[in-house]
Amino acid sequence: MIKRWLKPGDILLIAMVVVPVLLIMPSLMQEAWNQPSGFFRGLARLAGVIGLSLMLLAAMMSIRLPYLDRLFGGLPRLWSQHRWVGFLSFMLVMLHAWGLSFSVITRGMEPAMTVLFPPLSYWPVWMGWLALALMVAFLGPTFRFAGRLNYQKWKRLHLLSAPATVAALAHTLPLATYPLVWWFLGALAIGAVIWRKVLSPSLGRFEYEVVEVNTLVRGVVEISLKPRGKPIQYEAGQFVYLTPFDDSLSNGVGEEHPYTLSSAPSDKYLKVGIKDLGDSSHAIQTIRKGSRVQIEGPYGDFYERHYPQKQQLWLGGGIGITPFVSGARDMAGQEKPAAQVHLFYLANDPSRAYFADELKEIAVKQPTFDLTLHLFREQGAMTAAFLQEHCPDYREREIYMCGPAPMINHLRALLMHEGVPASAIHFEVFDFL
Amino acid sequence: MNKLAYTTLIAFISSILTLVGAYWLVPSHAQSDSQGRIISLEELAQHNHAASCWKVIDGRVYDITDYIDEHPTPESVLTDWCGMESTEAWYDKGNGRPHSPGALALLAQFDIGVLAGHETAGSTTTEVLTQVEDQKTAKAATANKVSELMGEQQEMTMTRTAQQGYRDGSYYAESEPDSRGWRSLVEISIVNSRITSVYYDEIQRDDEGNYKARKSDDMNYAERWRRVSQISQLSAFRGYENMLILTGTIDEVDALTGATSSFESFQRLVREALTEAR
Repeated sequence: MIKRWLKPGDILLIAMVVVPVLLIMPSLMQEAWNQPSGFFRGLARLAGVIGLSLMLLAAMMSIRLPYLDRLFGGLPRLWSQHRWVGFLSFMLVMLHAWGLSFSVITRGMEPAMTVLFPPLSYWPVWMGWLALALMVAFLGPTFRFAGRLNYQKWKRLHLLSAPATVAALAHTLPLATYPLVWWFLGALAIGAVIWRKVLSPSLGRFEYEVVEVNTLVRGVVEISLKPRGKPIQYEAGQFVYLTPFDDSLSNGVGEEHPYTLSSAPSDKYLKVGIKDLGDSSHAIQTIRKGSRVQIEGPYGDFYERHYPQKQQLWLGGGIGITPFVSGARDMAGQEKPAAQVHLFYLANDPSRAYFADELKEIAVKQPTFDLTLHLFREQGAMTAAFLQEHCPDYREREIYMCGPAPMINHLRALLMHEGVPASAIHFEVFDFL
Repeated sequence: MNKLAYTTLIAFISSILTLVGAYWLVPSHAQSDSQGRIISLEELAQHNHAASCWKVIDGRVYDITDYIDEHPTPESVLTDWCGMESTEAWYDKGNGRPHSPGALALLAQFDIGVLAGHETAGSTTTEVLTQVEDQKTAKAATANKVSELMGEQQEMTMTRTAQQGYRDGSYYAESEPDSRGWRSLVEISIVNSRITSVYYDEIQRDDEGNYKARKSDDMNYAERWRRVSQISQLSAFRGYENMLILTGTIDEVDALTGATSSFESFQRLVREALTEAR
């Protein structure tokens, strides 16, 4: 039961915040109960300790090691946690500075000002300010004054988090009562960033070659990749980061982007389904055969089971059909798949159901796999009655959804209304920002 | 989450700007030039308990009674020093680190005067702040002060020594340990009724009285001291020794700013050692 919302990795993450807090707790209790000023000071120090722990945690969470992410419920979940942890850290750091200053304000302006703005020679405090200023600089764009972010620009700007972390450590280490714990967590955090930004591009990636580019419909391609060396090991529904090195591409050469695998783990070639959604995914539609790409992964835990005994209901729409194509191809090759599966393929009209023919073939051959096509233009939005008609026991199944956000929102509301427990619904939207 | 973080940022900037604005509007009280009341050692010693706790830091007297409850350590850490010279505890909180500039600004609120004998030597907290900010200038200033003293007084030395009238020999004095186990010691050699050489140091002994450590050897201690003051024991001890040789009398030796507690020990021990030389 608890496994659904608390993953094994979460306990590790929580411990990294709890340990530093426990260490300073005795001295905090000592001062916090004395006077109102002590309470503010204690609160401010606690905010600082948790703020720095979370900041280091956010850095560690960006390591993006293949397979390891499953301990944390998959990379998309880890990213969303990273985002929460980062913002929380930012807010606590401000509370820290504010609280320290206001704990002495009853004693006058002079002390309150000196706490925040001491002489320059007392540099650890100014390191704290530097860290906060850098955080404002790289978090500022997420406040979205200038519209939606450019993903690559955002990624480059977010690198400022590395000097911010170093400045935060330089702020804390000379002042901390237990510097050892910060040395330890700081080393892990900086190590994670070094792996991600410096080492992984040469050590963590696998070499592949484009052998086939299959245009399924205008704006959607399926690219087949042949390993040049050792191939990656993956499961159905996972995704990889792909870096193209085809100089003829108009955009995104040498940039990594996440794409979902559409091939089955036993397939000879690695396949990714790519829809033209942005500059890079537009450019990659014309990638040349024989060009080199690098693959890092796999990531994600799409077919994670909460109820291993239940049958499955899959709902896929648009390019969100990709993980289900991978799953169906995987089932096609199996003698006796683990669960009975019913896939609903949601598309606007038959021409946009670009994987329908292959999926139908699999449904014919594999008795444990059923397929129903749902066409928005003819049948309108999906209804409970439609599900009931084609898959009478859908309420009892474990449900997996992938597709555009409006589709997911509509289906989630519909299923919850029909009494499907939230824990039985898995969904994935690739929207990291 | 983005909105919440943004809101917090705006709230944070607003309150800091309010603080800065209010700081500029309220006239500053820290700039008073007066040294304040002159407080004798006897008066200081009466305020040696938690109900009325005075302390001397860098020659200034502070009544910190009101702050004992708010200080972020167990009470005894503070009250142990009531009625005493506490400069060392100010510059070394027990973990080798000095108090912060924020704490210094707080301390200024409790300033009630200057310790007798420190009317010029003791610097106000504002001065200390500027000194800390510009250590190099301060160091140079101290160097000037010492060389000035030496130049000015060198000529007088010859006439003075004649009047000294000490008995030839070597004289030694050592103090009882302070609360941190430090003992001051001085050795003075007199040849032809003149003070010819002086050695001053602060040392620790183990339980059996065997020598353990001396401050003039401790470069880490010197570094910590220099970080908060413009001087360390390395040149302060030498300075006091040289001034005594040059002037021939402890009455002419001046305290060096930032090393006043050593000065007091030095003064006391030299007097003690020289009583035997009369």
